[in-house]
Amino acid sequence: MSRNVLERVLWQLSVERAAKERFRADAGKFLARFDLSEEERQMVIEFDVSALQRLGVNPMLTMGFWQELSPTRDMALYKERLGASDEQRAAFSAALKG
Amino acid sequence: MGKIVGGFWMPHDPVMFVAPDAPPQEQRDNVWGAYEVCARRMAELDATAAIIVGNDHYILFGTQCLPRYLIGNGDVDGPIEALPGLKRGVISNHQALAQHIVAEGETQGIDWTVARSFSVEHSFAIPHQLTVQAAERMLGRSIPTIPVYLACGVDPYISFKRAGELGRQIRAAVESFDADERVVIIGSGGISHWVGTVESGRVNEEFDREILAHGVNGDLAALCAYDDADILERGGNGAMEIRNFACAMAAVPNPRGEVIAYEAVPAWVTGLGFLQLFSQESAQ
Repeated sequence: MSRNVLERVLWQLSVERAAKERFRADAGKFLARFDLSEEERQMVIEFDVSALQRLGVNPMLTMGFWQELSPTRDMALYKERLGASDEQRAAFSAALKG
Repeated sequence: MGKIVGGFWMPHDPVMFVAPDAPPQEQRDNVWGAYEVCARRMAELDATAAIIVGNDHYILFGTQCLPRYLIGNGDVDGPIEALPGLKRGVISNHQALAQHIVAEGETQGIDWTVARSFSVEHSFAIPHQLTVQAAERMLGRSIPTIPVYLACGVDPYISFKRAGELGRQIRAAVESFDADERVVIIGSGGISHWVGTVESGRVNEEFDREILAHGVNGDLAALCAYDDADILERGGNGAMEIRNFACAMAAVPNPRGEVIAYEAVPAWVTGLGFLQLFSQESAQ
């Protein structure tokens, strides 16, 4: 089940320093050892947190992965990538910025 | 014979530490002050030991092993995360009582997963540092604290039925313990909060007050009657943590509650409730 593999990958990338370093050095190479489809690999490489959540990945992991490894780590952008509505953006808090 | 002398519900919101100045001053004061009130009341209960019921947030346990319920009965330290204002260090555990809870559980079909060494995360560390350690300073002595972790953040979630059974089993174990322990149990959790989802920042005060009312009434059945879909809709994925409240409430004999503080804090992405559980049997 893809969700299980994706959660394994994202958990490692959230908590394991060596995994983070390997991912930063060459994300494609790091992901090659996992049983993921090409589409799923792209979701991880492109930080497509919305698609990952649609596959059932725990939001705590998508958030942790984003905060650890995304280029900007910006939580406003994270919510944007999740498709936040205007109302949800308006409810946005100072705590989530940056 | 040991005794559960009382309990608390309190939050473990890491955003308080990351963005302490985000909410209005009054809310900040009320929330930080509520931890102090809990500490003072814990000291007034003359607690000799504490149990904190928390939950992992996909930090400690990975996909290779997701325990429904776990107790730390050996070497304990933490927190594992680096949060500003929280110190990492060795945590004084009550190994004898923790081992007794495990052994007593086996006689009742409660097969605890045991951590012989355990690094806690913030759901234990925040109540421990803000309330238990503060009570220790007031009393001038240690309050050894046992970590219990229930699966509330990562599915498969523990059932409410099991959470309640664990609370009752903890109480039975404390009461059959050799020493004259005075144990306080803390259910650690936010009420409504959406973690990592598009709704993050939403707080549902109506749901939060409903949950607190169950605590005030000591109504474990009502607290345990929520189904997961209802919780997710009205309280968010973070509100699954009310299972920790259920476990703590079930451990207190004939409980009634008093709300110490409540604040709906969108800037800290959570409905934050503080409640003390009193044992009516102790009062009699």
